[in-house]
Amino acid sequence: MTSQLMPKIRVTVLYFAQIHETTRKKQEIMELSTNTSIKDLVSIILTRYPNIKNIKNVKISINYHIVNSNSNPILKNDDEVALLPPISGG
Amino acid sequence: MGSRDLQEETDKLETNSSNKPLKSGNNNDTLGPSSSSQRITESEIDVNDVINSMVDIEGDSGATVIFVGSVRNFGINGKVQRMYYESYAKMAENKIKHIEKMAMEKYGIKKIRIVHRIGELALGNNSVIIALSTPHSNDAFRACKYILAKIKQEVPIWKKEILSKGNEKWVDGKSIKTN
Repeated sequence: MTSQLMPKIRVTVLYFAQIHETTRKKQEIMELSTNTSIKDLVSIILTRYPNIKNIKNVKISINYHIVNSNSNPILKNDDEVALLPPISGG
Repeated sequence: MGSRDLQEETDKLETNSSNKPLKSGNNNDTLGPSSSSQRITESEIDVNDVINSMVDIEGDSGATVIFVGSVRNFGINGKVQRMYYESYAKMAENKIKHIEKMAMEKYGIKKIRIVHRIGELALGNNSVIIALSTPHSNDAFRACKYILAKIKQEVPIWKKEILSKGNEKWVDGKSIKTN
């Protein structure tokens, strides 16, 4: 199957605080192959924005739920992924 | 725990296509009577309105504790002129709702309101308010401290100090806690 015929999903990726200052955007929609895992997506993001590696202790959420370090979920169409640097509210 | 970059964080992940389904969209927890108000706002916090919402004509509560956090003129990066707050609003609302629910069960809270302001705030502006009432004062004080700690650990809000020297710095925070 050619890559043009491969099924695709669309995922919204959100960037906050120091991260959006690195990416220079607060969000973007990414078109990905089906069976893309969150780890695959992070690799794509880090290739595109390597300076994110300088920000420590970033957590990832999918649809408002933090991704547990013991799991690597496969992304679904319309998922909302967020990169969350250390928080400082209150 | 030491600092880790995003690559290290995700290197630990193992592919799991049968991961439990993730909820999408709203996370509508069932909460008590005062859970309907907005928890994240760009508007000035109306402290009097929050205090008035604690009035309990049934008399179930004997104690009301209110914590108001405001912008201080000094921070970890030096002398502060203004503070900018940003949030992942939908997730922050969900997290605060969850904290309210946990605290209500843990401390027997009868009424509760939590509001966090975002956007650019001047010195002395109120950034957060926690108001709650319980039958006894000890529970009210303990619950208020518990809630503030939970907000700092779990709610996706970030602040940036706008310093007197003209530069700006994000406050080094804590890695968001998974629960």
